[in-house]
Amino acid sequence: MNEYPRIDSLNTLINGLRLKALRGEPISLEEYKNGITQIRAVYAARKTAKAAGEKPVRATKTKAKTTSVSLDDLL
Amino acid sequence: MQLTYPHHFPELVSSSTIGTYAECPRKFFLSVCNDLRPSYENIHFRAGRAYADSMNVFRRTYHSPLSPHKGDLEMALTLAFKSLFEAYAPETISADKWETVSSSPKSLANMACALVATIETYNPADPTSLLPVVDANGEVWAERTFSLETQVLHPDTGNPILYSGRTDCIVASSQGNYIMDEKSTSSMGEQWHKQWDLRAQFIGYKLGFWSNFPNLNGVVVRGVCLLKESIRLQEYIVNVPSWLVKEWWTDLNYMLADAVRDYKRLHFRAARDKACTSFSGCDFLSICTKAPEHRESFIRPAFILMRYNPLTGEAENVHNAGEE
Repeated sequence: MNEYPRIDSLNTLINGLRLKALRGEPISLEEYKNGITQIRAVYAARKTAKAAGEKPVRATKTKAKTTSVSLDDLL
Repeated sequence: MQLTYPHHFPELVSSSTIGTYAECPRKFFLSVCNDLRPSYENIHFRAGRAYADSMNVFRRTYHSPLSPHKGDLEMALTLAFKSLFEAYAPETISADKWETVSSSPKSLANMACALVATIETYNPADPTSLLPVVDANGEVWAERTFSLETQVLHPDTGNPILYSGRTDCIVASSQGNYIMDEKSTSSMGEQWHKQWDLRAQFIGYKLGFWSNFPNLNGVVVRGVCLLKESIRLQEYIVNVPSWLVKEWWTDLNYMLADAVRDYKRLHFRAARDKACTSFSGCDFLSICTKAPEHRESFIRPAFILMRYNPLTGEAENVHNAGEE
């Protein structure tokens, strides 16, 4: 049985926008539009999966490794 | 309890500040009269404010005839997401805290998903949905404030103390008008709705907006339950009868008079009860558990001076409590 698409799969999108903001770069309306389109796609896929009776993902205790980037690394 | 910080009695009170007094008068003195706030970051406040801002932008963009994007769902959601991102301000969260915040139920990804879930569940294009009131000037009744003169005079200025509030939005239905209040929560069990029937905040809303909407029935509470990897929504209608408004107003004025009495005699008693430990614990627990002569030295590194304005919803940094 498949699982619901995860909400935290959106962290890649969010982290990308955060990095731009950290660098002081403007975020265009087009980037926000692409962002909300991705968020709506994940939400829609979750709804479809739920309607099909798929299992929800359980939050795992092991955290995915992420790379922390400080402002100093970027500038 | 006395501190060397300059203290004041607020000219403007809200259901939150009066609720603090009812919970613990000393907490009211420390947080409202002395403007003390914990210096640590509160992600719940940041996330809640960002969500409210984004819903406000959505409503004004989608519903106002003055908006160039009226009825444009994609553009209204885009601008709402922009507002959510800017108010959440992820770039101001340090790299070490960001990892924890990103995996919490109040993560920016979860809040963005909650925004989409709310808009798509309560379809704004469906005329049978509870839609915001738009007045003859084209203004959407979202994020509106009110203030009412109470019967209690300010202890320093002698002016009537004002009771104020700020609502998410006012909606229209075939049964009349309702205040819409969005509440985020981390749990939404069978009993979730039972906490709202006598909520002072809602009774105050009815009195505050009654003159604008004579057919105002009460409040629709829209619960947004945010869990890690799960978002649930629920609505509950609270009808507020006029006898309840009258009873609450009398009690409010008595309670305010008690607070003014405490201020004049400079003694706000401590509750020393469940309020100390309920939810995640009182912010001032670490102060009240110290001997009086040591309290101020514990306040200095752990608190900042910040004044909250219930009309704008903004908190203004007065200065750091540690600064001389």
